[in-house]
Amino acid sequence: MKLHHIAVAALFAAGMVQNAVAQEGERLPWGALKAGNKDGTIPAWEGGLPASASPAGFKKDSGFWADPYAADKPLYSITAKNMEQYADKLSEATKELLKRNHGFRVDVYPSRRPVNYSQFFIENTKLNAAGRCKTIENGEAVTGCFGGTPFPVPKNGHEAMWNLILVNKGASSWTYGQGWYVDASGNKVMTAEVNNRNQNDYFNATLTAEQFYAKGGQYFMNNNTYTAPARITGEGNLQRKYINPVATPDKTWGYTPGQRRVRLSPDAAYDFPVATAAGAMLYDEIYAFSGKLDRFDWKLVGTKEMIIPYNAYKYLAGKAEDVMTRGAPNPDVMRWELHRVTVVEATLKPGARHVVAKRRFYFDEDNPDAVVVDAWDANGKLSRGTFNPCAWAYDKQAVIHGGTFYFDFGTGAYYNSSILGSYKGLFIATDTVDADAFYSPDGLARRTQR
Amino acid sequence: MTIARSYRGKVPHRGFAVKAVCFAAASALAGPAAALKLGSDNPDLEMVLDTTARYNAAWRTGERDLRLVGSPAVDEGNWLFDKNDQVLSRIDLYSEFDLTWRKDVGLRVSAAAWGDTNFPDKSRSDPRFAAAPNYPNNDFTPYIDRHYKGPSGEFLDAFAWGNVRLGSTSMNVKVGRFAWLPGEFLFSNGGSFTYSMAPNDGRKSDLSPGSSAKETALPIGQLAATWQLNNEFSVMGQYTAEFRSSRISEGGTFWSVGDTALEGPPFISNPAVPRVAPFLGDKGDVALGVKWSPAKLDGDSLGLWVRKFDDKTPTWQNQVRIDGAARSGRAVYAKGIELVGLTYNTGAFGLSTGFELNYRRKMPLNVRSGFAFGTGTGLVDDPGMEGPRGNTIHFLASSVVTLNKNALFDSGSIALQFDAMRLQKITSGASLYNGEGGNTACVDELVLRGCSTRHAASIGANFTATWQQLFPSVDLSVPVFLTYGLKGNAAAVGAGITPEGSWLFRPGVRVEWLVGQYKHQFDLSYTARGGKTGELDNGAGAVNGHGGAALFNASGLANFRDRNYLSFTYQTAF
Repeated sequence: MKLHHIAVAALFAAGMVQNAVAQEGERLPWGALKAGNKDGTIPAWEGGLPASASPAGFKKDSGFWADPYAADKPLYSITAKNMEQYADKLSEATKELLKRNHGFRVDVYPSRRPVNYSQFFIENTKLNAAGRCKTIENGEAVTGCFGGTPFPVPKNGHEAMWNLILVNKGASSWTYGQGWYVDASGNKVMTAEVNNRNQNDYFNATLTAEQFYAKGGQYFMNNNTYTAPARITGEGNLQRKYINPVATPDKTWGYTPGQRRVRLSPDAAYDFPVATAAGAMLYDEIYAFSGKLDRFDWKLVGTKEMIIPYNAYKYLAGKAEDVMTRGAPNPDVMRWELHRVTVVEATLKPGARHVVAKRRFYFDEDNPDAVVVDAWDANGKLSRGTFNPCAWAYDKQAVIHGGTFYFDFGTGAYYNSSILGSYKGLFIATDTVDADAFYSPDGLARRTQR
Repeated sequence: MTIARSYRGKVPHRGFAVKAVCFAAASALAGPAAALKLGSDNPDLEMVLDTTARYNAAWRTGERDLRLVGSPAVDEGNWLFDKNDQVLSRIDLYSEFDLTWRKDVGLRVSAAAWGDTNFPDKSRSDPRFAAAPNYPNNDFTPYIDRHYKGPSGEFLDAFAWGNVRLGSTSMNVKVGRFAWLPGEFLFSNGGSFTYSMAPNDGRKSDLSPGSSAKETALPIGQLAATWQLNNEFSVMGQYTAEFRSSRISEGGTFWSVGDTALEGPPFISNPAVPRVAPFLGDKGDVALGVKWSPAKLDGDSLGLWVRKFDDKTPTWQNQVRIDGAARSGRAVYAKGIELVGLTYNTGAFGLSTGFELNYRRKMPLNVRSGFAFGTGTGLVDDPGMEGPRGNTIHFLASSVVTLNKNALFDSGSIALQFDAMRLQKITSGASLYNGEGGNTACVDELVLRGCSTRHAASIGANFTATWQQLFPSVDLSVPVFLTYGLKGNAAAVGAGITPEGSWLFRPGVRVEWLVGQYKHQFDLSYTARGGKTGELDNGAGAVNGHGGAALFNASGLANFRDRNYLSFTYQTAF
């Protein structure tokens, strides 16, 4: 271990509870502590937002959600000048952005806990916790899990990561967003405008756990077609991910315009850079983590209090020009809150290859999709960072997952995978499709004609 | 000397000029507007109009090798430009309009326009052959002027489509002009079951490096459908409503093999053999396929196809007819080829790999040159005017692998394609076959003589390495393409197999500069070609055509060994 790592680890341990189950108190079905913290800066969970919530300006199935906390004012702001006071509550990437960009700041708002999972989710989470759900294949796959948080009280790093991988983004959605990056000199580039339809049968309430596994355990079915920029309009792809990726590896198909054929795509995984992301996003960073767990050792470090992007309604409604500013996201659209997070550390296995040697994931106790990630290269240098500012779709009882921010500290570029406000937004469970026909190579070929 | 056929054999058609439309469409979008999106107020209706603009320049770097210019039939293409001359200064526009209603029905129209300020008014002959230019007076014909010089244009795609639910099944139907090539090929589809499912614009590939498949797969009027019965089985079909020829580089132009083909030159041999209208194929090609993706195979799919079709490649380009003292020549397109093919696509080992095996009956074979057909009266469907045919077996394998970040580059990819074919038996016109059992000269040195062989195989490979954000918003890549003939000369017309010992090597550099919604792409590449050469006694002797004076022979791509070139491409889309 390099000196730099020891220093970081020591600093980090300061605010850390070293064992996830060491904290006492009543736990909610999904594993979060019900009570607030001693300082009163994190509130108790009091039922979250009701499914009937309708904040001013909310139009159901409009693609966007009105901010139920619009009246909140920031409690305080963190800048490069005062960040040392909060050093143990900020991710390393957040601190790096503050250091590099003097216009950047972290506005910390009152902490709110809006999650309010459905009965289906709660019941299944309890069944998962009661022993139905297990990791297999050295933690690289799970079995028996269905319909809820797989491991409300994770015992190790692999279980904690499955809570992130199987996060509740709703059973199905249409996402219409634009991918943008900002390069080191502040140029803004739109790389893709995508029509995305996603189905997550793991959360499909019309299925039983047995049916889900009998159908092959496809927890992620995804169809993208591109409507801009002009150079890629009409291209499309299709992904399927399986709950046992060891037995059934992830699959991607691509559509070739002109020839109008669909063919399996070669593996693009691990640290392969996503072409449209200026190198700032790697394939295994999609949704903060995607793909197989096999190249890293995963350690559940514990829980701690962190200031993370949260209840990001304002950001999720923002257009690219509102969000993407030079060097870092526009602080005016970002909302940060103090929350308890689970900390998982990934260390590259000896002999395995990856541009990232160490990663640290911090995800929220109520909603694992509210995640931030720090990553270090082989020299122990902070090289990458990830934020996933999400919000709660009160009417759908699911997470609003928009674009994720990826920071490449080597090139100084950062990328956002899907800015909803620049296109039509997100539609959760507004229709059903025949998944077998829709998420198939022929289904992909039916949806693009170029 | 021997002229190997362009192994990408392809041909022209008679499109209708729409330059006004194209340029109007393009200019309407010029300026800072992004892709035009209309109907956004009505969520059911989506309309998109995109235009790709491309500029190509190229310069000949190779010194003319006069040994390759052995007859008046092969001089003009080589003489049109000298070493260090600019051979191309061409602008291409490509506009696409898509209208979609509720994601289930729609229309698509695309159009292309072009112009080349560098293309000369006159063809140029070797002084030794100045008396017999294939273009009388060395004046390029209007067809050449339109397609090479421009400015001109044409419509490409023009079709309507719909997705229909039939009970629990789904069907996609398309009707109109479009191309559909659902094979497992990456570079050439000569060995694919999709051979001639759509004509191919090889000329545009030559003249406009950087053209996408949307521009080089020529649309053909057809009705086609894919009917997905369930998640394991789909049935597919095609019926063509017109005939259109593939396109190849025309005689006397820089990329042409010889001076005589296909739509431009009025003479096969000046003045003895004027070119007359081609004997074209017909409408009514039929293709039926079934695709099986068993759940057990986890994404892999198997296909079985049966087709009956007419060749879109100008099969036998120079059929000469004797009519008393008169001679005439024309291209004859083979009709009624029958094919049964298997396909397999797999993601095993993280690669994207495809295999194809197909058996073709009555496949046209390479015809020997330098003979005349019998007498004929009028250009009628005269089987005697056909070249040889036979039963052939074709195999191709293609694979793509991605390369993760490493010490040398950020990301990379390798694409490979292997093609092989076998001539099972000659079924007609054996005496006209340019190979063993046909042309009597084909007894030794087959490859060098340009004779077809029973077996043939070749490989093509593309390697690309990419460095992202070399400068802010600037990515650099190095694409390198290589094709190499492993064995033999393919017996079938248009087989897509590089002749043995022939090679094409094209290293390049690509810079992509991204600004807002636009990408400015700059390519610089160098193309070198070569193949087997040697001295052979040709023709004049008494034994099997041997025993004459030794002459220089060049086989396959060796005919282009002196025409290496440097090309520059800029393209953007808006």
